[in-house]
Amino acid sequence: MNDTLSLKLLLFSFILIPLLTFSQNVTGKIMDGSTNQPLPGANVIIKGTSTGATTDFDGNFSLNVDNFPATLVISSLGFETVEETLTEAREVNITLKESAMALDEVVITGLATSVKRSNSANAVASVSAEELNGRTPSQTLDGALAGKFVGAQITAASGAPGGGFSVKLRGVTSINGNGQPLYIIDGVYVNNNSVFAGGLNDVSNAAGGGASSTDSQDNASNRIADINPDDIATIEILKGASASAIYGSRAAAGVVIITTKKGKQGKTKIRFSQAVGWNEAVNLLGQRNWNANLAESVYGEGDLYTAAQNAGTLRNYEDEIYGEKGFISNTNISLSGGNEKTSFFGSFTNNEEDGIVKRTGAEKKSFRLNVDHKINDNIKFSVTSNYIRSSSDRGFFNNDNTNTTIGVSLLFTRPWDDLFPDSNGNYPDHPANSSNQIHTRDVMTNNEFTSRLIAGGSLDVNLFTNDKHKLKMILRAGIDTYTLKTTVFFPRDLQFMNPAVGGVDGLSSDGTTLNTDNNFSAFLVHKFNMNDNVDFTTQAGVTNEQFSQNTVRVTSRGLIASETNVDQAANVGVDQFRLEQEDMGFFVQEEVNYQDKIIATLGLRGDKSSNNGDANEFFYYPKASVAFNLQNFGFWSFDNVNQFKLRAAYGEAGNFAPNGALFTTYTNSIIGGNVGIITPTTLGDPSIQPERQKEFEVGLDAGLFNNRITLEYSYYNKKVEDLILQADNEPSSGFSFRWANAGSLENTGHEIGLNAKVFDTEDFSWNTSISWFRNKSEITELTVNSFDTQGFGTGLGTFRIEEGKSATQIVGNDSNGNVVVLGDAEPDFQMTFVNDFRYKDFTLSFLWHWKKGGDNVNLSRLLSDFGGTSADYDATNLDPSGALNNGDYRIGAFLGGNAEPFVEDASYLKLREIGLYYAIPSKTIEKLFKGNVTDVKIGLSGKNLINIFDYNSYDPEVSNFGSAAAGVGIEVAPFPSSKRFMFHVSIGL
Amino acid sequence: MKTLNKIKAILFVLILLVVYSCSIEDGRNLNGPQTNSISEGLSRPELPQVVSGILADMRDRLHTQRDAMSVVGRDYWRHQSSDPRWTGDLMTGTLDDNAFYITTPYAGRYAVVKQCNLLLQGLENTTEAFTDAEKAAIRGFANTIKAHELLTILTMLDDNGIRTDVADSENLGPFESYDDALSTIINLLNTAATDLASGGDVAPNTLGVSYLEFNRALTARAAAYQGDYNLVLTALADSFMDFNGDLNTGAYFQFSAGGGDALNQLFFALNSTAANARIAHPDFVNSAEAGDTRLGKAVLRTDGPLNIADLTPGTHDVYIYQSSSDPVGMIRNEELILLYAEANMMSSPSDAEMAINVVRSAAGLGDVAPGGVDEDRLLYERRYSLFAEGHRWIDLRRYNRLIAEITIDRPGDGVVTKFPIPQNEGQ
Repeated sequence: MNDTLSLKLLLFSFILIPLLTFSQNVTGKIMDGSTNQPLPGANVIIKGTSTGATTDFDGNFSLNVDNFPATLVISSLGFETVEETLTEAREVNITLKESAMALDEVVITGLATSVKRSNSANAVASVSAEELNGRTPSQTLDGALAGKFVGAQITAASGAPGGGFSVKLRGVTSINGNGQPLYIIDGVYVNNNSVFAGGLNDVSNAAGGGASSTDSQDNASNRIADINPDDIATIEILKGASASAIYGSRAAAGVVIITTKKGKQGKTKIRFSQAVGWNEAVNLLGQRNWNANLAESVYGEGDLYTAAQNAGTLRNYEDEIYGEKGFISNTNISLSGGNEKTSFFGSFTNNEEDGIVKRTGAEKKSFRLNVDHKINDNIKFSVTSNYIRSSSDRGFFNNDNTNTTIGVSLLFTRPWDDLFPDSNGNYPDHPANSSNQIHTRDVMTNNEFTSRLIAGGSLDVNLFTNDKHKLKMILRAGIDTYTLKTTVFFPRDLQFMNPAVGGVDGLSSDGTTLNTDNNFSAFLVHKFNMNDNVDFTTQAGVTNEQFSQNTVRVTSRGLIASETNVDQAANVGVDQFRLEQEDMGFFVQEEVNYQDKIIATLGLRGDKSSNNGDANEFFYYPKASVAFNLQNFGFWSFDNVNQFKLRAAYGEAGNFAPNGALFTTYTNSIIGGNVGIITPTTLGDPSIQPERQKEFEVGLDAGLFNNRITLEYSYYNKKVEDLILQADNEPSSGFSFRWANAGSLENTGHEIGLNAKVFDTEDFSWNTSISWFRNKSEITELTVNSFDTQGFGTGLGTFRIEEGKSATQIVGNDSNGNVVVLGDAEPDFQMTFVNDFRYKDFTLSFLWHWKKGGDNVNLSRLLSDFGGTSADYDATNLDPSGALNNGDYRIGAFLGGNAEPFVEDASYLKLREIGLYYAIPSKTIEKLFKGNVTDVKIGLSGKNLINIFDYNSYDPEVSNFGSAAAGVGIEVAPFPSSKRFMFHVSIGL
Repeated sequence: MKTLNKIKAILFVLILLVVYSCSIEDGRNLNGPQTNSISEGLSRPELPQVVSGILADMRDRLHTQRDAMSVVGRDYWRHQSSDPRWTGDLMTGTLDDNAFYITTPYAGRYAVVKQCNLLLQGLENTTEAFTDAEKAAIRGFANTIKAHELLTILTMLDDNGIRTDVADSENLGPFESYDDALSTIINLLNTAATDLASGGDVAPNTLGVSYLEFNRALTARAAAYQGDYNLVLTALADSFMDFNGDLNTGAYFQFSAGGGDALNQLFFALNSTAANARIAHPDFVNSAEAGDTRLGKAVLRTDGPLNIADLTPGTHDVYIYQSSSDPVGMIRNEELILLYAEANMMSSPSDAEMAINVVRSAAGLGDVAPGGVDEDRLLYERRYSLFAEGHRWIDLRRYNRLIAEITIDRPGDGVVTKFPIPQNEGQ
């Protein structure tokens, strides 16, 4: 069954005996218009028949034509279809133009197959390289996605350099399990863990005030931040189980499928781009309007104020801490090219960025090499590899119970406090607080360093091809391995390190995480064309994923001198966390396409995992979908409506219990040198099952005037059953929490996208798109008592999981002491507005992002009220009775246990991105560089340049608890967010 | 076509075979022993680690519990600028049943109870050749510690009652009334004392007295709460009470800066800032008899008074522990002598006087007038002797003097009579 051989024989016979047959042979070559390279895999069909051929890797085809005249229909995914009429046998050389229609894109629907977007039954969001990073560069990949597609709530936890984002697709999908999507880059499952550093909580005691110790408040970044957005060609986002079911038990929170850039055959292209710029705080709050009288009445320190005023040493400490302009430099060099057999893409990126706080910043070096090689016409081999070295200095912010973080300490600092070092470099103690934040900023270290390799390989083998059948095998392997080092250092001379005030005499912590994730998969894809009317695509495969993490943190106290080595200390403590997990699964999927009129898909995934109670029990996740392209039916008579598709999809996907939920594990203790074991706060459940999400989605896609206007609408309903909850337990049992499958939730939502090419002429074009989306959630069932997740109790406002209520409701005491719903983190809706203008060689593009509604718990203001430093302390716009000023009102509310003033509307309107670019005309370039340079582009861009909100802090986009599955939106003295201004040059050779 | 179908069929079957035949290993927890490793059978090497774990965990949230009880008893004001519920709820008297000041000590104490119960279950199921004496000692230890933990919770919740039967996590016993729970605790202590008397001590012991002595001292305290003065006296006789000895002799929570060990969080340096402070209540400072050296537990702030939460400027820091590795008393000789006085106050006033005078002389004060030991006297001595150890609030309550004697510092403040049952108990 060697197809190549039979093809050669056929060719051979035609050359020898052409006159012996009635039919005549037509040969030709199909070219890719965008690259001027041969286009393999294009379909050449004789119109009105089922006879056809596919071009080989060199773009050549050969076909027998019985009758002339005949019309050949030449098509290929992503290209405009061409019809060529033949009156006699001749060589047909056609160049296909890349399709400009967005709806002609390809979207990935299976693990190994894709489908034309116009045939997809799901609203799969796509983000192109241009949309992702073309307007203005973002610091991290997840940050670059904000506002770029419908159905997502992307929240930066803070402005700390190095990232830290929560990405929620179509609402809350888990309460205590993983709520972040699965990231797959070129087939490699990429790790997105947040690993917290040792030592920070030892100093801040953030988890000591009663907040659950399982929540990280140390603001660790998540590891997807390592990925370099410059390397990305496209991103597709499967937002829920109806699209992601085929990914099974890790896909409930959605799947982000990333394809990196590949080389193309032809001249080697070199591109160099450099961007420089700066960042600065989005919104500083300013100071209370101090004068000597106020200083006297609040603190009895009027004379100190006057003295400082006379000496000219009144300071704006907010400016001292957050007033820096951080320098940004992004350098990128890429090379791509190839010959008939081998193509490659290589890139090197160096990003450096200083934070708006001194001694903070992030830098990243990324090296990528993607190679594709054709072993022969039927076997293709490709390798992707990416090495990343990233380092971020993140400062010391967020919640604390010791007033030691820079953020909290600042809120307790008055302008007349003198915190700067004397001429000998000695820092004074803070007169009104337990730490001097200037000193802390200048000497402490909180660094995350990653050295990471992500590599994948795939082998595509055409086992069999003829004009009706095509059987292909795909083998893939991927590895993501990194070493993450966390370094935390507090020298002995810090105010709060002094043993005389209960300090630990210097603290140094060195944490090392070795993480290795592997994934292997094998697929078979069979395509069958029946009578030219129905196409069947069958795929089946097996997958295996292995995860291994080992974190060791050594935290030393009582340092020798101020040495940073952890052995140079009186007291050394070690903790270790290990995780080993193996998942295995299979899937089958059948897709039927009837003349592009009806496209139906049926699939099933089965998964088992060592993370389940019974490691060898399979969990099955089915999916089914159907799309009707009404415009392709005979009855369609609206010529201006070139597409009208109705679609429906249903799918199920899972989410594993967090590691350790199966077990009730002793932790260790020491007393007087005796090692001991103590019970944990959470009771494990050996029979815990994965969460199961069932999503149903319906929608319609319409294209008008040859897709000049396109409209996409989707409605979804997703239910999550067997919710894995770290539920409250009667603490008298010895366990305050227990893991249990104990509830269900439901998300429903609408998503609308409208795109219009308003003008499209040679000199001027204007493309505009508007999207609008909303999500509502409800806890539909809860078999345990309602319980609080993130937050600090009803006196301050807390997220509470309660049957019949929104999964993101914020409850708290009202002024009468009753616990009532005070807000909801879920926005009423979100809207984005994108415009791309091109006039001759200029392009201007901007993205507005409006989040309407959605509440936060803002505790920063209360803290600055306690410090007497709130900028709005003396204003009187909060107290309904008008009697108290804002500061006293908030403190009074706090003392009365009334949480109302702390729950604030976190709506915002942001100019997320704007970019203005000028491409130097090719004539000028030709004149200047004599053909050595192909293009030069310069530009200006900005991120978050305009921020409109009524929220009483630095930025409504904030999360003290990082990317917690539910409960994003609590603020406690975070690292403020920043806006960025950039200047760009890019040169192509 | 047929061949192709065959190939296809074979390959698909192969795929299914691969998936179903490859089994993966059950997940293991790599990060520590599981609780059933103890409860399903205690081994000899495990024993000291379970005992040490129990002793270590008794310190969990001790500072929160002591602070909460000292604030409601107005021994001192606790101020923490990042958590003003200390000067809010606990002083206004409007308590939240889901706030840290009750939930964390409550959960902490019951976690220790759980560990004692796991130890007792492990002892039942053990295949290790423990002697009867060893078994008795282990039982006695576990029940004594359990009783201690339950008693501290009972004193916080008072007539809300507590659960005492919590061995089966899935099937918790009912909330018992204050009186019933107190009887249960005393019975537990008495049984444990019999076991400890026959079995001896268990290693390790970081208390500073034997477990039996500790048991008897604790029994005396519980019996006094019950008003069973005979039991107070018989228990004291077997305890470490010593009229001639150091008043600080007793059972202690130990702390150290060693890696993995815990620090004494009841220690704050002198002249602490508003960020974190314990300010002696002015009434404590002002109500002392002249020359009472126990006033030294409150030290004048040399940096000047601290202005917090609209309270009268705090002039004195609480300063009982001199470093973050100082031990904290669980029950001291001083309390035992005062219990002796209390038990004899009605039946044998001269013995009561003798005991009170032991304490007064240690405080640099003269003897009481003959017949001068009454409730007022007793409560004064207890207030100053046991300052900041969480007793005053309990004492005022059991003598029905809370409303009369708790100083209301600010308008709107009130008196806490008991802590609520934590919300997550589902009561």
